Amino acid sequence: MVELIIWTIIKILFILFFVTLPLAGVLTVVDRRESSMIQDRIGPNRANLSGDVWDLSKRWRFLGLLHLLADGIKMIFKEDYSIKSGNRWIHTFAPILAFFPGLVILSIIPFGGNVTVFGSSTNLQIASFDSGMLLAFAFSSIAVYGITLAGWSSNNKFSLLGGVRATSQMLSYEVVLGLTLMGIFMIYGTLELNTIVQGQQSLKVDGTPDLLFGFLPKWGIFLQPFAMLLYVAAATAETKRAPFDVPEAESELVSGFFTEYGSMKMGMFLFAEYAEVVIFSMIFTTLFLGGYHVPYLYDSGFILPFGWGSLSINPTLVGFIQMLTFLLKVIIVAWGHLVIRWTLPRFRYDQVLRLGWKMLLPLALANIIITAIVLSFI
Amino acid sequence: MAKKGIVVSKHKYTLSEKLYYPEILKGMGVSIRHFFANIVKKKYTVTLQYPEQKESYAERFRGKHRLMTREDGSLRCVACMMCATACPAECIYIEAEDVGDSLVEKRAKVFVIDELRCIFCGLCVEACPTDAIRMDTGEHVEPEYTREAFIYDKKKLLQNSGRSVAIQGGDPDYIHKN
Repeated sequence: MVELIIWTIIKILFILFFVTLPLAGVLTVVDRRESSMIQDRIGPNRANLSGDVWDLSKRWRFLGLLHLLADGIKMIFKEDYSIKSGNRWIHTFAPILAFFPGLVILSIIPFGGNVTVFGSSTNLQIASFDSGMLLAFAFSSIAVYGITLAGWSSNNKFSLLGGVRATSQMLSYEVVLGLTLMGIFMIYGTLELNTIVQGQQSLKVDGTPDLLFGFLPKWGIFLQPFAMLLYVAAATAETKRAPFDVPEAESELVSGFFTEYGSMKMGMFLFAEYAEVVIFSMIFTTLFLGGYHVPYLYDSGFILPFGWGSLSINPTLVGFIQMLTFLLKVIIVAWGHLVIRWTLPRFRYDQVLRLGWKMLLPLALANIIITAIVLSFI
Repeated sequence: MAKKGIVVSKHKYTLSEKLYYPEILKGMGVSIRHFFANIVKKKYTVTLQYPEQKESYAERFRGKHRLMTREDGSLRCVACMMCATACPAECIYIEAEDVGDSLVEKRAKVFVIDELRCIFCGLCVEACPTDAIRMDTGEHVEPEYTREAFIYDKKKLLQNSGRSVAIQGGDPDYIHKN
């Protein structure tokens, strides 16, 4: 019992303070640098610790990560503006409600395989619920309240419009989000994420790898490619980033639901956006990219397809390799998500809803039906 | 009377455009190409890091004025008022004083240019018969805190001064020969 509690605390601290929050922070800088690289600019490169050095290349810039620090200091020391009209309590509470429920989703994500340290063995997943993804859906819907209340309590037309847009968009896409993943749940027969990950790359009863066509691991992306495309669209809409950033819409609504926010409260909204990107990447990796699995690497070591041989590796080492693999996959997916954001222009508000209800929803339903028919014949 | 309308043909979407995803992937391909080309060796980037790197102006750029000197370090200006006359903005003020030299006769006791009034047309440079005023510093007028600071006196105009070897008032020997 004590062992379980200690492991849980270690896992919570690790996934929160060593993975998600630093990664979300780094993404704020990466987003700006990446956008500038895509748009043929140079981007922010001024923050440095070397003081009065004229030569740009000789400044200590730490890969631009100091901008994160500079941003934090700036946000904290800005005026913490509290509105004179509107509901101040809800106004203060909304950023918290928008930021923290998303972090709860981290508890169900398996970020590595089974590791053994000092004779104590554990799965690298904070909590293993049978409800699994339902918890993720539940808490991502709570985040909608934060946005809506922020827009509503600000007593500002732009904020209200942003809040209303966010509500209708996120509610519509939550339906699609749930339905696109039904195919995955039907194939792996569970909602629990660690079981899904193990189902994506496992050994058969006789010890041979369970592969698709003899060489492809049974990852979600290979079994449900269509659901993957729909999920990317729906999840991008859930994170409220371009091309689905109608709630924020700088060109129309100043800055949407957080127009009336300043200082660290606004910082929380911005940070929540990147935290959502990280969480989206984690869920995407878990469901579609085989989670923490390296292709052909099983608990006992590599087993290559077509009988090309095998290589046995220490199981604990495998656990750590899998953890690093998971992080690498998350980083790559997050990077790709940012590329989408800097490639596509914004959908119009009515186009967003039409896409959600008239295109993605029927396609998701069709995907479920086809998956069900195929599964009934296997 | 019926107005003549223009028939606008609607864009016919191809299959890949209707499906969104192929076109999105194409667009992402462009983004990724630019990303890697720029991150590896700044292939498309044209940004100038301003305070450290500066764009060099054209050779004939008309910048801040300066006054030129002779070999002995005295001001070349003979207070002929040509520049002040030519100036369309009337930003040059000159007070002359006697030198007591038969060749030069006059010199500028006060030479003031109001850089806020100046329109940088360069007519003063063209008008000057003695090559005393030039606009070839290649610099902007620096920002100041007060309007008074923009009124450049002789001292300030001589800061970037250089020696001009142009023969003043024509060839001096010419006068003596005739």
